[in-house]
Amino acid sequence: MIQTTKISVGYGSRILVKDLDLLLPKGSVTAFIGANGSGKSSLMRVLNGLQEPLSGKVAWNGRDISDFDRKEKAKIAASLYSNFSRVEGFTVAELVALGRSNFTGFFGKLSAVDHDKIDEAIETVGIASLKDKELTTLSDGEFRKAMLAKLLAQDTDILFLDEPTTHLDLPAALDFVRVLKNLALKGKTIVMSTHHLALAFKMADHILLFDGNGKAAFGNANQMMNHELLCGFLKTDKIRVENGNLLFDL
Amino acid sequence: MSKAVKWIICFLILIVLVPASLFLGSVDIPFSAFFGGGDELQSIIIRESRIPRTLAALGGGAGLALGGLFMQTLFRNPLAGPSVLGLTSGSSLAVGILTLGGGVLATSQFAVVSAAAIGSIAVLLVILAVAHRFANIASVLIVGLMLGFFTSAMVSLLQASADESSLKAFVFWGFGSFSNIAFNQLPILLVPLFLIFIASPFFIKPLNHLLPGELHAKTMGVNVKQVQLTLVIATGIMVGVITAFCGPIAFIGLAAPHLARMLFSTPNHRTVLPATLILGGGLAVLCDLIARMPFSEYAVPLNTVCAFMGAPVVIYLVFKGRKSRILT
Repeated sequence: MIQTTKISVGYGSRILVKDLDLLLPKGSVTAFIGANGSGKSSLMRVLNGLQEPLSGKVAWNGRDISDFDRKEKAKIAASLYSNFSRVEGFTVAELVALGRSNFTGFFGKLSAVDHDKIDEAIETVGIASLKDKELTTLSDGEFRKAMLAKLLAQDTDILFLDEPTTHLDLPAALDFVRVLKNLALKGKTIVMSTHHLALAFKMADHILLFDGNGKAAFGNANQMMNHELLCGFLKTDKIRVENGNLLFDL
Repeated sequence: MSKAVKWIICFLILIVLVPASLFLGSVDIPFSAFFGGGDELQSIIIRESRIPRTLAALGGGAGLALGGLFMQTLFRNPLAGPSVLGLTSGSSLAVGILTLGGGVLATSQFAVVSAAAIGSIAVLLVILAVAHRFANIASVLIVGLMLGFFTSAMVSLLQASADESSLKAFVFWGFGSFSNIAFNQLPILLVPLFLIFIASPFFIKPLNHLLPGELHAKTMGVNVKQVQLTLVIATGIMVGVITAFCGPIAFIGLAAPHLARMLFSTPNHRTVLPATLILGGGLAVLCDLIARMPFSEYAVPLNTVCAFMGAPVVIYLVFKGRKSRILT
């Protein structure tokens, strides 16, 4: 569970999000939607405890995140940001093993339990056959799944994913989102940002819309599927809603 | 080839090279002399020349290699080496001022060592003073490189007006050598290196988390700024003491971490860090051994040998980089 109290996010005099109150319950998927630079990633970093908010508080599982030390945070939330790069020479298993590091000793020696968790994570995202493949040989979709497996190996309650479906072809994106949805059903709290509007409405329980000027709208996906709301926040008149489906005019 | 076999190869390289470095030289010394069986001259050569230079090469090579590994991971740049911080350039300038600009003063070895140390420390202090102001660690790299250009310009200026004998002294220092260190000076070089080697395994996990990027390390609970600062200081100290006693030594620090990654075909620091130490030490002993050309009366500059050995490694990397990028 993630809760914010009157949180404001921005840089210097530029305020992207103002006085936002959120409650993201356990086992839910929340999608952040907004134009580039509207504050999706900044809010995610603030919720993730990687960036200080201008004001306000963030709590995970009812506890203020400023009370956690660095290592504790990494045991509660795992994150995937779009600039994480493929390490040349690493296999999928080696990457996923990084997720276990807060459970291992000083030198990072993996126990039998760690190996089981690694295998289980790779299995869960559906890339068991790629376990010993090098990261540089994977497709974009496979690499994102390998990263997701690393997040799972971290064994956290919360997952933050910054534009995880960007650059993926449609089947790969659908596949990735399906895995995420299953994880939420198992009790993970998932926060993701995306430009894939249709995909977001299909899979997310909650939608947070950004206009990039301090205004944000939050609600469940059905409420948010509204022509005026979407067109207003995304500054376009090309989105229509018909019979609960999103349509795009050209 | 299994990992165990590769480790055995690493240790075998040392087991062959270290005795070779002790036994081979322009003077033949029988095996028995190492156990007190030789004459006085032989035991002086062993104590004051063979042992110090072997240990200096072993420790210095390992230190430069470890510094190179730290810099390559920190800057996410395969061509970073321990010299990127500009410390070597600082030493060069200080030694240049002493030998080329000093003129009237006779330059003792002690003065050269002191100048080199002061030059490195001065640059290190500058970097530390400004490092926390940089938003991005890459700025440190750029400042280091620019300091390098600046100091070499100053050195050229000094060279242009220097007399022949002092120019010669400076050029000789620039060749690099593991043989200028005396037995009683060894602790000054080896103790700081050894302490850093002992502490280095504690950075295995943070270094691994830095491989996918700084933000990744942060999400894993690594205090990135602190790790960067600690490793920059550690590298600064290592390069400082090594350059002070051995001069600016090229390529070993750049090449050894790549050799370690290639041999074990992984970038995982759990393997690469100890392998880099061993291969760096081994590479330095090998270069030193070749440089003194034991079966002839000639010797070649250490840096010449290092370049002959190191440049092919770098060229190989460029070719390999066409297929897949390193550390990106």
